[in-house]
Amino acid sequence: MITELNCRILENRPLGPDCFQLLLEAEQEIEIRAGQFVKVAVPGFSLRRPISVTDVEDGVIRLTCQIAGKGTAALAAKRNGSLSVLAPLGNGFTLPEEGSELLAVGGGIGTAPLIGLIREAVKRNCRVSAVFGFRTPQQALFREELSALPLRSFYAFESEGENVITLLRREGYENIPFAACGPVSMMEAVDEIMQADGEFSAECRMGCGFGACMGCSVETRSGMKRICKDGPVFRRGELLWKTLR
Amino acid sequence: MEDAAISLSVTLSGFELDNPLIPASGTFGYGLDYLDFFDVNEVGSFAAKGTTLHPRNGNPQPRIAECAGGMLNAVGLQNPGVHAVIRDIFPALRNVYHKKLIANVGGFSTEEYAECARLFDAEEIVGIIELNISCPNVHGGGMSFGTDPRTAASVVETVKRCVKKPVYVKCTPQCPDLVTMCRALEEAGADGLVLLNTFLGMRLDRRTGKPILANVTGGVSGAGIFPLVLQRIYEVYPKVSVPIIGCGGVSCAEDVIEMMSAGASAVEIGTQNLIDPLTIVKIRRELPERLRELGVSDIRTITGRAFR
Repeated sequence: MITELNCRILENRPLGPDCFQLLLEAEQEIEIRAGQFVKVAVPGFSLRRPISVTDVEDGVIRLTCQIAGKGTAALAAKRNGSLSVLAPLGNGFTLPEEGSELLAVGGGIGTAPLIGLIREAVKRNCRVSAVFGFRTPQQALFREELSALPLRSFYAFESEGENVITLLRREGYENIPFAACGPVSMMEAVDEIMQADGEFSAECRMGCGFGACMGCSVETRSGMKRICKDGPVFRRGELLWKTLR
Repeated sequence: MEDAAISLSVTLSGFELDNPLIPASGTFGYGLDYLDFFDVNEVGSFAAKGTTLHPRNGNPQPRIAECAGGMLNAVGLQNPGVHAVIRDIFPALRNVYHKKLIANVGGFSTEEYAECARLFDAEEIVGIIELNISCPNVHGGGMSFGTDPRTAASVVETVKRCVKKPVYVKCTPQCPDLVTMCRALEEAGADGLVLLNTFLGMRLDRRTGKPILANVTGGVSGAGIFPLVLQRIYEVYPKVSVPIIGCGGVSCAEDVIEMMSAGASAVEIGTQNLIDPLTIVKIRRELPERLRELGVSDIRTITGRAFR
């Protein structure tokens, strides 16, 4: 059930040069699956902003967001009070089976929705590997957090001549079932080199976020799909990269 | 006066609605996407997604942009086509929605409008046919039928010969002389008017300076267009005798009352549903109280009160 939640801002802090992290306490308990997203009303702006959920811990919703325009800049500046949030939205990732193997591949702010999945996989005693790419080390997200978890994590920085693709090849990870989120060019390259099955999480400018307006529909191999409701997570092979570029 | 004594019922060409609140076409899909939020039977009726004779994929991305006081869309009439709507969607809808809906019909030729309307006309669940000659986001169809009164009147005449149900025409604000247009539509047999569809607009990306929407232009909607639409309704109402459904920027109960006061018999609500999916429910709860404050016991009586 999608609910309009009144959420109290517990914390809003900058992360690196252009990102911030919001901790929100919802007035009621809410179940959010890894890979789902929320729409946050930003005071003074018409449309709610779609933001992926990083994770939910003890009823606290964590959002990691990149400043993309005036709306997200206003959200970054809002340090206290409350926010109206529509949640949960979209389908989310397929959760890995107990004791299985998971490879999380993220680029930039696309690493955020993978955190909840990684934590869920760790809880399920999975062998987890995370391969994250950023432009520079200053922009790296979740580095300390992942180093504290029982998993193998790798960071690639373009400024140092590396990216997730070179890392995936170097580590020989092409045969591990994966979940990926990041720039379209990154996901397309991941799609090209991986042998195993996997899922991709896409993004789009959205109107409603719950499937009514067709504002985020794209052509896929199985017809027109709404990124907000039929996605944002799509099985490998479903998305047509040219429609997302 | 008790709220229970306040009537929200309105009538549109013999079609009874227990309240005047109608989600606007394109913001409510075919009704099923709002089941997550509320019992869709709370609406007076709803205008279904603009439907064409043949399936359409619509425009490429991006389709959405924002502006102060609203948004722009360039969806481009994405829909599965009238046959699939009747075959696949209506049976599912009938299980959860027990009122009649308004079938919004788009097209690229007079024949297409007529055939699509004829198919909807045979459906029990359809109460009114809303001719969309005002979509700004398709080329060679939609709005091009809605800017010339003679072309528009000819579409209405053809459609009226093919259907039994009331035909309402959703007009575009891009029409240079709306009063002449509305009178021509009435003369051609239109049973009612829907004023208005979105306003043609655009946004440029602040970094690249290029249009945000892949379609370059889009339709502007939302609270910011409310006074513009209100003025058009106020202008047209005294010049026609068919009912007007007001549509444009309605966001709250006060807006509903204001738009009806200008001459609307019912009100379509669009963009606000996308921002707050519970808008219709909230307005329906609030309306009796707002009417009570005005000493009004029957909402029908406020239609056109600006002129009395």
